[in-house]
Amino acid sequence: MKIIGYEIRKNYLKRYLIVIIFAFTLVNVISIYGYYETSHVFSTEKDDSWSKAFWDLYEENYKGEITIEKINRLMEIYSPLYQACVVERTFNTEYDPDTFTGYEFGDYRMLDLGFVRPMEYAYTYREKALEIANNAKQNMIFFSSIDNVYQYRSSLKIASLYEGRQINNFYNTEMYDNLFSYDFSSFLILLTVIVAIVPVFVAEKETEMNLILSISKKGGKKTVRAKIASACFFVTGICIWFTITDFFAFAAFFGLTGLTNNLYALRDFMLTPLDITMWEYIIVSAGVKILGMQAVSAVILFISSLFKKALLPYVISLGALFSMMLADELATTKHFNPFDLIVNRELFRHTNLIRIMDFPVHEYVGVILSVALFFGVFILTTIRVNKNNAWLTGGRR
Amino acid sequence: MILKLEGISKSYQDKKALIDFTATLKEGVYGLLGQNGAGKTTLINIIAGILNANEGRILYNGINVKKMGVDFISAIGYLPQFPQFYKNFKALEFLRYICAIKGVPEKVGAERIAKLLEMVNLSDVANKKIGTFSGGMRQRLGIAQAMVNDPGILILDEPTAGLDPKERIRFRNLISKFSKDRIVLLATHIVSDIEYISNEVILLREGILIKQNKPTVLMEEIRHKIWEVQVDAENSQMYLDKYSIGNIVFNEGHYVLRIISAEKPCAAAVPIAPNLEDVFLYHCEAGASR
Repeated sequence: MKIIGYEIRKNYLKRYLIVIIFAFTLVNVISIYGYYETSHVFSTEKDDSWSKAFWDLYEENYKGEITIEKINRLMEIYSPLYQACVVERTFNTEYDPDTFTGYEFGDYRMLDLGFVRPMEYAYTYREKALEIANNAKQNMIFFSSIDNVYQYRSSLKIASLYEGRQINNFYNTEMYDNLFSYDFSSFLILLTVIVAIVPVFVAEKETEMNLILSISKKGGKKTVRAKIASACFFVTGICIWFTITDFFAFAAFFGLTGLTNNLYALRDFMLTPLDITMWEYIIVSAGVKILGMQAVSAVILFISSLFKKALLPYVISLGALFSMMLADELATTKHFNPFDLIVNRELFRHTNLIRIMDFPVHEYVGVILSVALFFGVFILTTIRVNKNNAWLTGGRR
Repeated sequence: MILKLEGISKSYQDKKALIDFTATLKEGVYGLLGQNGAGKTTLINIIAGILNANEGRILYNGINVKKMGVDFISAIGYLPQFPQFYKNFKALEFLRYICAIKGVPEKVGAERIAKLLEMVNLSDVANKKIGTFSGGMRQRLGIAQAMVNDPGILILDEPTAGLDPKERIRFRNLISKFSKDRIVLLATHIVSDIEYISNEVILLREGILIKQNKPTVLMEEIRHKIWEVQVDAENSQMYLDKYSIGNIVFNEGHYVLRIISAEKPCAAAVPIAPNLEDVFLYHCEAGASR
């Protein structure tokens, strides 16, 4: 533990790295604000009548459990607007003090986008989920009759996953829609990881400390393991830091509401294999991203251990990252690429099953396991590449 | 305390870096002398276990070091050729780190660090970052880190390279201080580093051990082979081409040459007392051309 502490001090508590992290955090928050500015529907600053009307209605009347009373109340004001704006096509934009937004068409759009459509999705979700479950049950009967064990098991898994799914609460999902599609912070984490991890082994050689380490009792494999462990701590720490920054920045700009709502309350995650809430997904997604980042850092550690000067490892690490990104874009298979875990929403948006020994397993499990294997291979290779002192290995080095 | 090196050989592909090196080292300072590429660093790296030899064995107090493993490593203190250390570490923090990786217990380490910082005159800057240190200060910190585990064998690879004369003398004195009850192996191609402090000189040329003896004995061996010749500018080139020259001084229109030669170079040549530099030149330069 002591050596791990020294490795953290040696490699990560550097002024330039702290400045970089601080600067990247600032850039990230500014970027999230820019994202908010270009993509929000209802401004949390309530600086326009449309947004103010939405948030007032949301807070006072419609937030929380979806009840018949709330739906009736909403339809009472929405139906005449629908009749006027859509059926009669008046598109009235004249100022009217008796409206929420200042004009009739504004009210219609605000209610339609902010309440009617999302509530309709939430209200009808149970039906859709049940339909999927029933279809799966039908498939179970069919596959059972033709003795297709794997397909039977797959259908069973889908049926049990979707049966009983329903969305009972209505919350504004803008924050989550945007948070879960935001990737810029991952890019900043990757840059930070490269800057921080490339020197881990190279710097020892550049300073000739590798020679002193190699004739020290704990300077061989123990130090290598401490370097790997400290890199893991750093990567985990930096991922958590940016996850927290993302969360608070998105919450501050888009408005924090509905943390306990189901993940499938988001249209994008309608078919998600995860039966969890928003806040649970934030943690799961961060955890999965951390594993992906660990795999990338394992590659960088390996590259770092091969070279004596820092320049080439920086270039090669960047090259490796872009290759992985490109492979992620082009390859049809998702396995073994850490980027599938770093940008993981695609993994959790749809229920895909893979076959492992005749058992259906969620695709994300397969990807996680394969990236974990990828991580393990690079870590073990890095340990092997860094040799112990000859006298500790009976004269071999 | 005896370190025996028996028949050590090392090759890098086609190049033989060390050939059948055999020597016995006891307590004292050993100056490992040789030109660049003579095999000094290879020998040091083999002793330290950084490289493995193709042939030969090393015995420490009669035990094969292969069998000693970590016990032998714990008996070594090592200062590499161009150490930079960690610039963002403070000197004290760095020595504590070295104690940790060398497995020196915390309490013992703290006492040793305080004593060593005092000895190398770095107590005042113990809490300053290494990045702010001069080359001499860094080398003094380097010897302190090598001594932190109280080693029986202290290996110093070109420790004075790049130091100014004052720091070089200071460093030499430090080595003398640390040489009590331990084997100090000091590799250098700067002869003055070892002239005054080494008990024995080990001369290496092209991977072969040429001589191992006391400096006085080595100097005695080449007595009557060092000459001083006074020549004019016209004739000086002939001597420069023909002989190994230890020194040239221009004095009142003449050149005074220090010539290393087994034979008297000219009738006017006067024999003078040899120094260790002459021994080095005689064996490594003049000897090589013979």
